Amino acid sequence: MSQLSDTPIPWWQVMAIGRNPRTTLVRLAITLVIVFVGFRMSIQPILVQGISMQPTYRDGQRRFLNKLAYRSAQPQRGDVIGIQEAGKQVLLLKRVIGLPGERLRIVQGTVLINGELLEEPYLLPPTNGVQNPARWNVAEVQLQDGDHYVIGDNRSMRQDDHYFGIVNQNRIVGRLMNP
Amino acid sequence: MSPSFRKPFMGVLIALALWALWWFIPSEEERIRRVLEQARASVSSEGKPADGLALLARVGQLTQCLTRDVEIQVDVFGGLSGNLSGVDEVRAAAAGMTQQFPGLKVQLSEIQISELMPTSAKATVVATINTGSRNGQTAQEFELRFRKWEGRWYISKIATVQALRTR
Repeated sequence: MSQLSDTPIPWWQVMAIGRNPRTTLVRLAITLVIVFVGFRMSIQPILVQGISMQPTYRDGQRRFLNKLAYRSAQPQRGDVIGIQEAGKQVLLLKRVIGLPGERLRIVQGTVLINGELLEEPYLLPPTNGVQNPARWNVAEVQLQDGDHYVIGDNRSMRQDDHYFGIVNQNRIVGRLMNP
Repeated sequence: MSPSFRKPFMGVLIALALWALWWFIPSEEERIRRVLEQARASVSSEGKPADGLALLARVGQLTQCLTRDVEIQVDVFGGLSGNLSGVDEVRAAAAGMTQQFPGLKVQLSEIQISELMPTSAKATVVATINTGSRNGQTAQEFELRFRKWEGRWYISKIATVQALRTR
């Protein structure tokens, strides 16, 4: 027996499973559990469906949400966020344009925050003489505590076909990573 | 009985007793969940016959879960919208829907029961609805109101929940 235990372990075996395979397996299992739990708690993969966030995000793209982004901070204007649409699995992807306490309205496609024009560099420039954003109009809304105004980047579509409006913070899942 | 079997036997007995307690004397929350499950099962066709007596039985099973003055408010962005009021309207709509979508399958998830009072309660659920056709699957969040009458819970209101609002 002593002869066996003194046999040197081949280098490839040390590289592959360590000097003590049982310890390596336990370490591997613990690491996998930590990674899995950490991933589930902090990141949510999403599949972009639809055209409301074009041209920034296109139908079929895969992205990740940072679920911890708003644990110690508030959503900022310009953030692209995931919103609970139906439970935890069906999400909306929208951009924040209005923050709590602000007054917002849209006049002929131009967003006004507290009466001042909001610059939106993420929108498509006018093409072929077609106004972009389209001439949408939204009457003034006063955002309450915890309320954010969200909208998609595709303003060339018909206003009635575009789902946008006020969302409460408790439905915000996280911020889009690598936007 | 040998001593080595006594402990596992007692464990199984206790587990059975707890299960029987849960089944025969359910909590109020569990009673509400059972009403939801009954309603779900009655609208899901899942290959069950959807005509004649079978249809009547299923619609009857649904109406057993509802108050006489039940209200249903559906407003899905870019989709279905409309209101139903009273158990007769719901019965007719359910029968029509069952016949139109014989492969209709409804699954409920993320059931949260709140505001549980002696005679009223609220629940939010996510319903995954599959009409059986290609691309016919959709998920929608609903808010339900319950009323208790003579020891039994009934659904008094069903409304879709919209993530975004205009005001």
